[in-house]
Amino acid sequence: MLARIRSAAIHGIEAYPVDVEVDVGRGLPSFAIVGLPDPAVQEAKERVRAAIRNAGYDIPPRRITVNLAPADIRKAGPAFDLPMAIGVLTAAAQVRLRGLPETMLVGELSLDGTLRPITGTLPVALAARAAGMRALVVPDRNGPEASLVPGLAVHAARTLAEVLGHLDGTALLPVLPPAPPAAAGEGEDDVDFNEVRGHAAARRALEIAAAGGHNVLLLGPPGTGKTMLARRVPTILPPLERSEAMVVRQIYSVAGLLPAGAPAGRVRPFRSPHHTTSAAAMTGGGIPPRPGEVTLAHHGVLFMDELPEFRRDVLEALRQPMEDRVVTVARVASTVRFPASFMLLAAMNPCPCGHHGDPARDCLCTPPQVRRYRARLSGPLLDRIDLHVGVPRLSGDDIALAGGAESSCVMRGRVREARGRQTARFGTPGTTNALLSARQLRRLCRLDESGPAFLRTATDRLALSARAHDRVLRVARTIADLEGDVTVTAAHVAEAIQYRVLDRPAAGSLDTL
Amino acid sequence: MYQCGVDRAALGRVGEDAAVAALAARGYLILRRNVRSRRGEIDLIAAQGSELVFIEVKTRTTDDRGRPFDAIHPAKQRRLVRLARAFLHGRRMEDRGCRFDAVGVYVTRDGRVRRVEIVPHAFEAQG
Repeated sequence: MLARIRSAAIHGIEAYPVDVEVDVGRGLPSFAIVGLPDPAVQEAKERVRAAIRNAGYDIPPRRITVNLAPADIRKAGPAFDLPMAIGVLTAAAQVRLRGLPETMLVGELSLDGTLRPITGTLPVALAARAAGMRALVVPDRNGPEASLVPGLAVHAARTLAEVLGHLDGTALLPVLPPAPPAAAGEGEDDVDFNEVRGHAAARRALEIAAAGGHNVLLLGPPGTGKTMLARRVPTILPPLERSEAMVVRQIYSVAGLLPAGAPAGRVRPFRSPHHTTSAAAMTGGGIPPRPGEVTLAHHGVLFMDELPEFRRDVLEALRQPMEDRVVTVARVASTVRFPASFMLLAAMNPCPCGHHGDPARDCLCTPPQVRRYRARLSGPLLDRIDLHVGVPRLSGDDIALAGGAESSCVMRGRVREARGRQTARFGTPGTTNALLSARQLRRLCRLDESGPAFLRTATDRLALSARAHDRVLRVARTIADLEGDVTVTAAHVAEAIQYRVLDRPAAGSLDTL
Repeated sequence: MYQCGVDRAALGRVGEDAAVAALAARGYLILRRNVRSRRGEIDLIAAQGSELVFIEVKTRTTDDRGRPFDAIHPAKQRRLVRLARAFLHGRRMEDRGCRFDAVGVYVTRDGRVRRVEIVPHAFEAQG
């Protein structure tokens, strides 16, 4: 007899429907799984066998064949345990179940028949709805995640026996109430910009960066507050749009980080990978490919402290996602695209000892050492960073005299207004000046009459590359948006050029910090 | 390899006789004993209900060399599956419901049967 159970598998951050077909036939007893299963799926045999026995049924000595259709995509992970067990029992006519055609099942089984949580429940729920399923049965710990998807009856089960009771109608599981969409104010920040003394220039630069979604590099001696400033950037970013929040949840669901490891409510993600992180952990990898740091930072901030200490291949691997806003992970079996639209926030010391350009401390590095240190950052990478900001050591007076600093709330208000202007201009929410194409740039960043001449002179004197020139224009556009100006003026351009510290002729750049 | 004084063939014979008696008591209908082919031997073939049962009997006097069932290792299982497949094929019975059982017989040194253990559905064909 044949049974067909609906289930789903993860590909990238999405799920696609999979039919688990089970045939129980005569012949030498065996249990075979076909349809490109990976080792974890093959091992399901033993879990399914034990779980069925411990649920009070027995597996008949028959030839059992399980097919996972479509058979041309590699199936990974233990989420097929539950549909296989239900399929075997149905096909062996040990149980008579109703409602199977419109119910999707996922879950890992433990040997005693309890259901273990799986990763990627949220995309599975979305796929179930898209495939026209009416109901979805998930392990109980995945229930809250699945109930984020409206229009689907989600049932959370603790054991295989509970699922059987539900499907044969003897003990129906309740439908979980749909989870309310994340509220805007949810997830209180435990840090605030008003805790940062001084650093008016850096605060301004970070506000511009937040307003336009620009990448930033903070440069300064150790202990001056680079990390402190960076940690507070998420507090001035506007909350995630509802659709963005869903995508972020989806990513964290696939990464197995829900709910504890994900940002709360509509707070933007902030990822700070350590500088020993490998390229695969950064861009995503493994078999099957799982999202990396750049994807976990999607719609949020990727903070890379001690930027030159990162491995060269890691830094170079960043270039493609920074340009394309997606990262492509190619494997022999399949190619996966993960979204990776993040704001890069990097911090570095000016030299290996950290005191280059510090008026109070002597730098112990030789000029070649300083050059080598900076050369670790390739030109193309630096070109993709819109703002270079010095974070100098504060003198005793600076710290003592620094007045009451603005709170994150006030700064966020201005950022939201500036983003509102960008949304009005582009017509799509979430698009920021940092994403402007060269063509849009020329159309939308009109300079007033004094601007072009000023920019030309500056470009020549600072020897800006063509890409750096465009970066300046983008930042100038954001500065104008912060001020509420329709046209970009020479003053805006002048401020934007200040944030190209590392583009200045070498000698100059070394002394200005 | 067995200790001196113990006749291996005789021991096997004692074990199989004990197994046949125990199986019959459990409702197995013994159809064949020692089905030999050039690839090996199936100890017992029986019928129980609608199923044809291929049975491997292992006899032990001591646990020195492990329990009897330890001797039915994966390679031996594969050999038995091959033999069963050939047996079914030769009689055009490929669709017959069947299974593999194992019987462990514990015998004292002087040839008395201490215990017979039957494991139904002991193993399956691979993939």
